[in-house]
Amino acid sequence: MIGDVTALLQQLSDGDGGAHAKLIEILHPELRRIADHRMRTERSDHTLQPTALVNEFFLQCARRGPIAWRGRAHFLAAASEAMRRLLIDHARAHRSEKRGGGVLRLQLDDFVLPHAEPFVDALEIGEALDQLAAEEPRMARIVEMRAFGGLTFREIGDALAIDERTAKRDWQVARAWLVGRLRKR
Amino acid sequence: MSAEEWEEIKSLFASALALPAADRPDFLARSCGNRDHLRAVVQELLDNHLESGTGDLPPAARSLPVLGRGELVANRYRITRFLARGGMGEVYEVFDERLRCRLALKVLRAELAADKAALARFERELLITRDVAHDGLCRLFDLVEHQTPNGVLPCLTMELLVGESLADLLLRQRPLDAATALPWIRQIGAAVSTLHRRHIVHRDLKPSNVMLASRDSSALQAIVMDFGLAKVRNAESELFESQVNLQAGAPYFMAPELLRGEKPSIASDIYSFGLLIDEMVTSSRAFAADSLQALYFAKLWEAPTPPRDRASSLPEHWNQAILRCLSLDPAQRFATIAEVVTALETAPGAPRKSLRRRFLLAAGVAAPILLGGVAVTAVSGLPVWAKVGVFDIENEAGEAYEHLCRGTVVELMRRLSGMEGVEVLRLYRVFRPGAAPGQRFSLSGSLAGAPGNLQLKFQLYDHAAERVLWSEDFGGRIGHPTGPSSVSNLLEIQSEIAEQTLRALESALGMVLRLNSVLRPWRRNREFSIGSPTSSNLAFDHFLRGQTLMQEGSPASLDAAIESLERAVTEDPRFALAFAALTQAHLSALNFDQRRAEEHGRSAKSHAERALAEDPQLPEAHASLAAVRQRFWDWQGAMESYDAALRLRPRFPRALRWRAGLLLQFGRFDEAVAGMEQAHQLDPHDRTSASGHGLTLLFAGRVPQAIDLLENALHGRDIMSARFNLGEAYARQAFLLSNQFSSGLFEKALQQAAHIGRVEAAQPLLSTQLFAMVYSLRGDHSAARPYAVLLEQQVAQGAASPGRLARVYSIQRDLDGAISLLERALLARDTSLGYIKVDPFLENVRQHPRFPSLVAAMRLT
Repeated sequence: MIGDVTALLQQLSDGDGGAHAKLIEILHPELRRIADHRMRTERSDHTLQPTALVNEFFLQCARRGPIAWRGRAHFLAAASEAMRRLLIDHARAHRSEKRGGGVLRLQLDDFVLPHAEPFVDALEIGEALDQLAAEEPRMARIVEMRAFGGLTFREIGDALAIDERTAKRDWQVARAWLVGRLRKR
Repeated sequence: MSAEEWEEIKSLFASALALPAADRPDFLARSCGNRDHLRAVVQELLDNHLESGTGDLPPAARSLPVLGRGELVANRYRITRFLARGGMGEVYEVFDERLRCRLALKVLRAELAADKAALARFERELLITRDVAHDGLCRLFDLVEHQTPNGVLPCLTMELLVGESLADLLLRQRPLDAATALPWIRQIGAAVSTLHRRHIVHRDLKPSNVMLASRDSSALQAIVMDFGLAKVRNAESELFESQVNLQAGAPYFMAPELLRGEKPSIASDIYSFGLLIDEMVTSSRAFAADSLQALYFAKLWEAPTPPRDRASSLPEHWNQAILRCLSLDPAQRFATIAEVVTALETAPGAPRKSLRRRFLLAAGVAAPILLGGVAVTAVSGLPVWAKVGVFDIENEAGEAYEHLCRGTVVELMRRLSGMEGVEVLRLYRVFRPGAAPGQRFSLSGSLAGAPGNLQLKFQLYDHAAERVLWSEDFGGRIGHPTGPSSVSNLLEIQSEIAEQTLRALESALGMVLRLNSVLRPWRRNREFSIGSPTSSNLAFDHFLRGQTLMQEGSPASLDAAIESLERAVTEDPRFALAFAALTQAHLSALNFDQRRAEEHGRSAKSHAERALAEDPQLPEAHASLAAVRQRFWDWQGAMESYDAALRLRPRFPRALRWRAGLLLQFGRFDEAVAGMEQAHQLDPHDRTSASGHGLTLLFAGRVPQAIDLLENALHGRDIMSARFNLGEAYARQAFLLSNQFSSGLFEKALQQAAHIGRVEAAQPLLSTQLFAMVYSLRGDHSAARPYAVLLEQQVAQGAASPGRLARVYSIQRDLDGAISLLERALLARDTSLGYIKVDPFLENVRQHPRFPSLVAAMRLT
């Protein structure tokens, strides 16, 4: 897998936009394995910290072989996006089973909800992010990278080819908007 | 809301955030005027922003201490105050009501107390460390259980240290100058060395685990704490395997191999020790990273920023010592904590402490025997202006080009190392970039494409200037032959790569590089010196094939290597380097096949002489002749030839290694170890580098070091000889310790034998010998018996040398049997006899009255 990843990262650095989708496709099953494992060991009420999962994933990849430094931001960005999809899809699938009781709660980085509630419901954040993405696709990606991937603003800036300050400003707007949206529910 | 309004809202929000909170209402009122809906949206966003926090941990993550002041624990310890929280649990100051004294009490975290593995680790903390007493280690007392309504809480009592942690000190006062730091470093080093001597790896060495405290109102001293993560090395039992995960150990201070999931070792402690020293004497960190992932990245694939760049007044030898601790490759670090401290204490030029005497006392061996009249060339201490790492060529063109890629690397290294002040290291991709301390340049290449359309790219990178000095795509210039040679003009391309590299190095260094040989002033012309070893591309192709085959080291591959090299010299009868390689191939083959020993010996000798006749200035030719002379017990002649080779090329790994082997035969351990170490550093991935280095450490009595080194060398790849040596080292250590760890070590030795046996399958030579040796050392002669019988048969058939069986008999104290076998080996001029004076497994037979005459016959006196 690492060989494919390295090749795709190279294509990304060379400006091949299609490589991003392929990268996510490759990363998805690997991340899924890690997330499934965590969900099994969490047992009762699922509270997952996505950035910890991405970290764990990253480390597992690192053990298998080097990833070019320049591709790092792209790699993490793809991993964050794959992680967001994975968790939210999982929550949706769970709801459709209608067995009840299985709310997937996420502890997002740099993200505290009103009343100091440390968790967000994966379904709610999923819907809110979809809505944000429809209006502000870049902001939605920034939320993914920050809250699901634990990237720094500089790394986000590298991945999106924007400057660090813009990334931070967008994040603040997006977060403030999401907090309001989640409170209204 | 329109798109324009939304853009305005975003911009107003950002501007408001930049203002102090008190000024925001005014700002909004001014900017929004009467557009109230706009203002309301911005205001809501601002409120949300304040509520959503600034990324602080949610309050739930910070829990209260589990025990309150005044509470009585285990009916004996009264809680005075809460001190700290660590990875395993909380620490309190308590008053022992029975013994009327103050102590520290560590309580295992409640959630961990329910976890059997964590509990076992906690108990182990006491079990394995309470016997280790040292002034620099925090004393542990007892394990007690505290009954609570919610269950049992395990607690550990320990010495109460009054003072501050090194981390606290550094928060106030960083950096410390070298003179201030050194006494602390010595104390920490002495404490950790004590652990290492007891096979305990600390695993979590960092400033917050070092207390600066005074005992009994004496002076402040550094005391190492928290062995919560310590484990006994070499112990086989699950009990001693604490799992490696990120939560255990602070990631910044963790060795990179632990991030990769490898096991902690003395080498990983040495890495942490290096970072700890770095933390004391510099003002910023060696790896700058603002996220965990960035930290992993930096640690796994980037070179640390040299300490001197972060502390300009730091002495250069401190800089070097710290960088060596931080080597990515554990084998490149110092072998012991004591060596680190010595390196800091020893300014260049100052007389070095006599390691030899200390070592001789420790190992209890006889005084070294000097080779009469042989001058020893100093090979270390040469100036190095450019340290160049040559990476393996990334081959994506297929198996058919493997020999070309590997051969090109070897050939480029050979040409570059002929230059004065240039040190060349062979590196593999995982080590990129800046793998070795002081390595400033990296030469790397890739080969891709298919026959008829190959792309060969090369580049030279300067890590100091952070730029590519030279790069070239040879794609359009590769000649595509129709004959057996895979690339028809490879020689020219190699010459060009070498030439371009040198030019780029010269312009980066601002100096002219010369050939380092003082013996060939008439060949100062560089065009010749880095030119081709042959003029025939076809001969060169055969030569590269032969060299690659030889690296595989199996009997079949050696036969094929000899065939390829024969073709090379048929094609070009003046190809001195190929003759030298042929010598090496025959000498290697000789070890595998006792029956054809004489034939191989003769061929080796004539090829070595031919190589020298063709090019008397070729270091490889001298080294080959030296090896032949060593094979025929001409020790002095061998030493002279090694020295000649090393005068021509001082950093010649193979010559250094073989010469070290010769020194080892004579019990010159320090020189032998130094030579092996240097060869291993220069060529860390050669198959024989690790096993030769390990064997030398083992024979020199530095068994734990040998084990560490060989375990690391075997990580991720299989080298039979290193595995055999590791088995020997485990068994030797078990025999020397003869304590509760011995059975585990013997078991590990047997596992190595079993592994070798699986690989050897139909022809179990090395495994048979190892099984026989290990069982004999364990005193289990009946288990050894079937292997000894098999070995006897192999000796009778000429498949194994009598010297191998002699080691088994010697261990079993069948001294007559052992000496007779050695005498038989003498008649057969067996190569393995060279080490009879130092081989630890022959220590018994050395007492035999006939042993001195054996030594005299071999002129080993």
